[in-house]
Amino acid sequence: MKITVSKLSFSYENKEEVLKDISFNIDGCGITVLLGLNGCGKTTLLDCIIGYHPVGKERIFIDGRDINRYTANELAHKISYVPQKVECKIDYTVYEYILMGRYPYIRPGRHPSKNDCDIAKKYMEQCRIAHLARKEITQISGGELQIVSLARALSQETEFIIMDEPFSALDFSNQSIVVELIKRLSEEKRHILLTTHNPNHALHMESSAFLMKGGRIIKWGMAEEVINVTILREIFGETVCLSKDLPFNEVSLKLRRLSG
Amino acid sequence: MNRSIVIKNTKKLIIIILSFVILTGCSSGTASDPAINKSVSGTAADKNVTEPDKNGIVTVTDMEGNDVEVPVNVEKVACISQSATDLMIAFGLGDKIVGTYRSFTYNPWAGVIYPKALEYKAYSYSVSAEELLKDGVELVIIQDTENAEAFRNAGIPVIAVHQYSPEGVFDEEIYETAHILGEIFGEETKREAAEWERDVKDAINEVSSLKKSTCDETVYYINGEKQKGLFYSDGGNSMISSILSTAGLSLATEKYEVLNVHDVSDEEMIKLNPDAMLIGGAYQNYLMQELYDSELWSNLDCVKNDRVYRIPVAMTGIENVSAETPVMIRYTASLFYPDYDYDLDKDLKENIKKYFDYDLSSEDVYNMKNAFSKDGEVMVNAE
Amino acid sequence: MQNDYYKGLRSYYLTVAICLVVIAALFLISLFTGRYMIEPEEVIAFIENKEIPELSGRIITKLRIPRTIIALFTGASLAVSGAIYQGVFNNRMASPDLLGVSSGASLGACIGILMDLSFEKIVIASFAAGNLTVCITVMIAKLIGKQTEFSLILSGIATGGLMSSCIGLTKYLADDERKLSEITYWLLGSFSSSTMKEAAFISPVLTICFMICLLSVNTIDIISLGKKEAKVSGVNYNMSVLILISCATLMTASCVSVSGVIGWVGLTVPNLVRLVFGNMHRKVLMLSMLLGIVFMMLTDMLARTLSPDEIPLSVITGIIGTPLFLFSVIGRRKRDKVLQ
Repeated sequence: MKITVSKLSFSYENKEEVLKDISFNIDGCGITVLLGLNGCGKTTLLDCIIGYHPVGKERIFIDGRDINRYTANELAHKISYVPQKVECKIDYTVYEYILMGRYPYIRPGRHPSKNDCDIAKKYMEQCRIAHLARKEITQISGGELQIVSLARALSQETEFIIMDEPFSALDFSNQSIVVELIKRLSEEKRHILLTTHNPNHALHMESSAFLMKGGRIIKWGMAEEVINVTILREIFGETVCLSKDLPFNEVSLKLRRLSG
Repeated sequence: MNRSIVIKNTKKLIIIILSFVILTGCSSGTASDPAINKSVSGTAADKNVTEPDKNGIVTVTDMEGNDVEVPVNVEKVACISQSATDLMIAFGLGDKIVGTYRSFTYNPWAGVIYPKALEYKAYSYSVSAEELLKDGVELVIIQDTENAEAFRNAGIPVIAVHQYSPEGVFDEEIYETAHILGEIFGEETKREAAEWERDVKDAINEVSSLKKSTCDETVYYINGEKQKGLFYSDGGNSMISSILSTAGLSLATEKYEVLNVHDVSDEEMIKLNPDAMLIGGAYQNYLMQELYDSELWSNLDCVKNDRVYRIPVAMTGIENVSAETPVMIRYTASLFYPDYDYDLDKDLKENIKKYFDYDLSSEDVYNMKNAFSKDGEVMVNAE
Repeated sequence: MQNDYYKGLRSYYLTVAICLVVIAALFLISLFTGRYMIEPEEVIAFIENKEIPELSGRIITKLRIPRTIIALFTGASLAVSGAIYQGVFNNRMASPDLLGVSSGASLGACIGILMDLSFEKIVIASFAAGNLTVCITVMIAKLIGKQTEFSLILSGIATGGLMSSCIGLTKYLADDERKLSEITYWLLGSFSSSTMKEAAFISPVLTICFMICLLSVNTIDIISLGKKEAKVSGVNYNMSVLILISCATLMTASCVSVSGVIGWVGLTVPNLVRLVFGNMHRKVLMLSMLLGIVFMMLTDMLARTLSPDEIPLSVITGIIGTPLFLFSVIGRRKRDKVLQ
């Protein structure tokens, strides 16, 4: 399993480029974190990789094959995706919603098989949301919905799982549930690519990290090696006060009072 | 990625263009596609009428140009046209009518002059085909063919009659309903129709001679058969226009070959500035009120000069193609030629006696002239 | 929990079976109800292909069977197209009426009537105009902004309003005596002049549309998740949306061109189904289709039996459909409260 991005640039409708000449290579299983401020192009990069934004020829390769040459269904067998915010306004139940993760495997007009139902159930339990099964997705909280959406992506059973800000709506305990879940998934030979603006998530998950700023990847490597006070200051600017306590693998970010 | 946007937009564009092409495609397709089957044609002379064949079917060409097969000796007719109902009763065919157009039943005079008319069912143009079958109807004579398809599907022949010429002037068409009735109901009716035609022609000749004393006044007509307001009038293709022209008068709205309610506006009315006005139909009292209440209308010259005339309502409003048509022709002329020696009361009495065998009292005639019922009340639906 | 899906299926199949029986029964009943009284025995004799009085036979074959078939197809397609619009636009308020499709399609048909087009051409004209309206509606929604739920309905109302004005224009242009009443009458919906020819023309078109829609039930589920998620869930989003909307529009337009504008069915029926059976489009589409048929057949029977005149269909669907729609909305609120 391999994702290769080579010299990718992207702009929305002739405006300024959001992504500038990005190249990287993700190989094997593990966790990759895209770290950066809001608006640095993280989400756009993910959208390109999942095929949402059309890109030019020979820019993104999945398992060595140009992404443009995949059919939508083939791609769905390789990559699944957890959006930052679920947009669906139709009140499916949580169970139905998760079951939809199995649809790429179901032929047109067919019912999900018993096996599909079992898989959906398995991931619902793994994500500890079995108690929500009969609730409607429009009725549960944003945090719960984010986990439900994660479970849906998991039941798609792809090697690559791409998550856009998976922690954005989660409370503290749910964050740790998801972090543990992601760690376990990476041990199950999945590769998770996620975006976040909190460096601690990268440190906790012992992931590799891409640090993005202004549409470019400015540094990459293993999180512990890459993330240091200097580089974070470069990304986050002078508005945060940083200290890194290595034993706990934690960065403390404090708001600094703006002078003047 | 810019390419993709271009593609998206092109897709949209193609969809739009396609839709337009299809739309215009079908429109131009028909523009060059003349009405093949409908030989909309004029006079009764070139009517294609076959003699009844062995199966007892007679083929009649109706006023929309359709060749309709009608069984001879039809006994039950839905006559959904006031004009045709009036003529049928006048020609002694009243027994065959099961139902008529509902406005006809609103007019209390119909029941007074011809009591059997009280038993007629009131149909609308959108009456359901099954209702007609339930009533045992064998033939539909109808003025508005919006639902005719349904009757034909039900196997009931449909004869369209109109009081408008599809194109041009309604002249020879005056006699066409009568001719069609003759073709359907046989020799006896043909004779009745011929006599009525003679009466109408006599009236026309009588009035035409008046033309020599020059009078080219314009007349605005308000159709008060339905409560559709002061602008509900007729155009150059109508019966009323034809009646006026026989007397050397012209309909103010003549230039509109086919007049729609919205064709004349307030300002247009001032511009038309007719010399006189005719108000007909059961609603005429109501409309008269409306007219005098309106600042615009009450200030028109013809209203100030007191030249607003009523049209009597007999079996039907006499401005319709009807047994009363000769009266209408003479009455109209008498309004504009003071020297013309004409007695409406006498003429109306004689006409009703002749065609409906009913003796009108002088009070009856007074009531008819004012669109009142026999009891002297404003007609039922005039409120 | 894994049995939930299949447990749900059992009651779903049961409902489908009941609906089919009801439809069959209604079809029979519709043959002997109407202003003209035909004894049930005669209908049975007719079905057994025995001799029956000529008039009864004519009423059954020329009047009641064609209009019942057209009612059946119209009910099914309006309800299904409503369900599809709701799924594809991710919006429970979407329906052929609210998106302006009905008005657009009827504008096409009005123009057709004005030009004295043949029936087939009227269908094509109303389909083209219907599709054009969807395009306009969607484009205006995009211009209005991101809040698609409201902007779509808003632009639908705006587009529908524009189309209604254009219909007003065609009415203005139509001459009073003939075509105006035809247009006015037809705008309120009627099955009165249905023929087997019309039924034979629209039924294959609609059947193909139904097949496509029933095969894409899973796709509709996915599309309703939103563009981004749909693309990653193995759906060729743009193509699928194009096909589904074209299908739904074609269904609406065909119905509009044979029977005029019939409101409320496309909104009410799918919403009722969603309230009771959930939102999986496999169930929503199938049950909307069946309940749409039941609803329309009942409407038609009322329209032709209550009064000597044909009652315009929209009058009846409006009177019955509005409270049912409100019930589905309020019912949903109440159920949500209970669940919380």
